Amino acid sequence: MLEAIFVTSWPWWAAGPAIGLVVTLFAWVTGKALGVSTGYGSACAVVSRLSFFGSKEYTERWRLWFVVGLPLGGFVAALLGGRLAPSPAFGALDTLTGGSALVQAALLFSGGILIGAGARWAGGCPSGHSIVGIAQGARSSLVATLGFMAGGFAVVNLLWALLGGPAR
Amino acid sequence: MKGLVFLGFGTLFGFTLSRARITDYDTITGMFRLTDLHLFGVIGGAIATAGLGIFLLRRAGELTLAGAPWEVRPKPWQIGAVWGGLVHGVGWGLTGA
Repeated sequence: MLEAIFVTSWPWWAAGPAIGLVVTLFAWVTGKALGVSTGYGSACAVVSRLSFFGSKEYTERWRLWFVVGLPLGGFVAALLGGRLAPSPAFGALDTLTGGSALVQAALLFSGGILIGAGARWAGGCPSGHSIVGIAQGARSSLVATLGFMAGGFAVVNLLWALLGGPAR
Repeated sequence: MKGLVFLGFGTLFGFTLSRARITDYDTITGMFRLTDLHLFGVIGGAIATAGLGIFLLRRAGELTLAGAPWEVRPKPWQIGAVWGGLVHGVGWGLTGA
């Protein structure tokens, strides 16, 4: 039991409700809607004088604390799982790019820019929109999520069709 | 002090996402290539559970544990949800993260 919780990954029927419970607990304790990508805007607000980052949404400090916690949680998960072995291996991305570090860096860097810009444009990311937003029945969140899925579906299948990799 | 509460929640959320394999390249591209349906179940289960939880908290009066008013509101509609959503989705697919 302890091993299933702390050491190995969770099956979907446990992981999904667990995420929903964290979101609910967060709303109950802090009174706020959980979200990730706005927190990166808060990080920009620390160093930027752009009026875009001057709104309350970005100047609130709690989001910064929250996004600092995220990699800590990932670190704890890897540590407890006994998988804390830093390496450049990137799963199927290695297959896709033929192991070229340059192509991988280009994909990850350009993708990162699109992730940040797209999330600010859409007003949220898969946590704030797809989970917390849809859970409240928000139209903007449903539409944004359809966009996330359509964009990801298109680019991944295009990439694999172009660059190959193992057959399905 | 309040910051530590949010740091704790961030850590808990990061741990949970990691255990859900939402942070894994192969799992994310597997979802988009329809070779691994795990994440559809995770996201669906998360929406259902969060929906029920937020619904119950609303019925209980939209208060926090300490009795303060809360700020959980649906995001207002704006056309950026369409274009920003697509752009973010392309980035999601490129990085698998």
